[in-house]
Amino acid sequence: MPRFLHLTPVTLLALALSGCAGLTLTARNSVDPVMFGPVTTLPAKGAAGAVAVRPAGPPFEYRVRGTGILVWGVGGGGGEIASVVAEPSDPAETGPEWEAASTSRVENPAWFDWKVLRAAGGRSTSRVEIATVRCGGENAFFLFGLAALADCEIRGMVTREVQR
Amino acid sequence: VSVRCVTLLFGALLALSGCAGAHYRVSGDGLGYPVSFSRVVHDADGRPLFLGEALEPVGQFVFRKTSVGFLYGVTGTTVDLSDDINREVARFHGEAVVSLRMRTENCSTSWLFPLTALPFYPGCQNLAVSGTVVTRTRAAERAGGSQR
Repeated sequence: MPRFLHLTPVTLLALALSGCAGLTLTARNSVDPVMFGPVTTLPAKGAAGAVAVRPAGPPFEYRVRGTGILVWGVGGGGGEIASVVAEPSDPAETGPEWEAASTSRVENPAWFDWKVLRAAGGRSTSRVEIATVRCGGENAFFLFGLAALADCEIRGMVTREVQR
Repeated sequence: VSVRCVTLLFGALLALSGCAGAHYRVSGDGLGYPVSFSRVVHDADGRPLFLGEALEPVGQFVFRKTSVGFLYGVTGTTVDLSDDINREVARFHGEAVVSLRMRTENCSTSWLFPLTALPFYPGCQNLAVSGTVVTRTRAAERAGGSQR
């Protein structure tokens, strides 16, 4: 049988695995606004939305990486590894709190909420303003298996309104 | 083991490998409304307005964008969400978006070996964007107006 025909079941298997490396970005449980885009406050109806703000902390940075690997052995069978890892962006984020917030292996948006809480400090006048969101990923076919990789990076800053 | 054998082995492994993907930057530079990943936005005076309290939902949206990459995922594009989100907010006569959610996934076409061994084969990433369009409750509008 030609080699290409041996690859067909593998390709079908790979198709079935599509979507196994996906990442979700959400901060739905955060108590602070996490703003995306140039309009950062809800203006009074009919008024402009410009409010004076100043930076209130170090740059906000969040990186998360998802990996799915399927390895097959000779004659069938195989092993699967799937994980989502949020990378700490400063040394203060390597303690037990961070570990507790990043226990889920597959998908855990709580990492992002935890990060927002730490950055904004739960102050009602603080908010996170996202400047850039970058994402990407690859699917790879190797002699010994398949790999699906995805990563996202969010950068921004914590701001606080200037007292008027 | 000679260098030649190692080189041949490496070449053989490369010949039996393929990879495709894409990278992209998400842009919202043209957004005309406040958009929040969380369930809260600030009003013009810096007061937090929460979904379910001062903000009421008037609609929800979901849409997808696809980013294409070449050279095994090295090249990238910009995905602009501004027009889509502005259109959704206008459609529901809303004032803002909360609970913004982005999910990025690899396209199934990026699995199609041996096509993915070709550097010009297009890999891609799907981005699913969802959110809740909100407007202020009447009580919140009155509270905002009374303080000015």
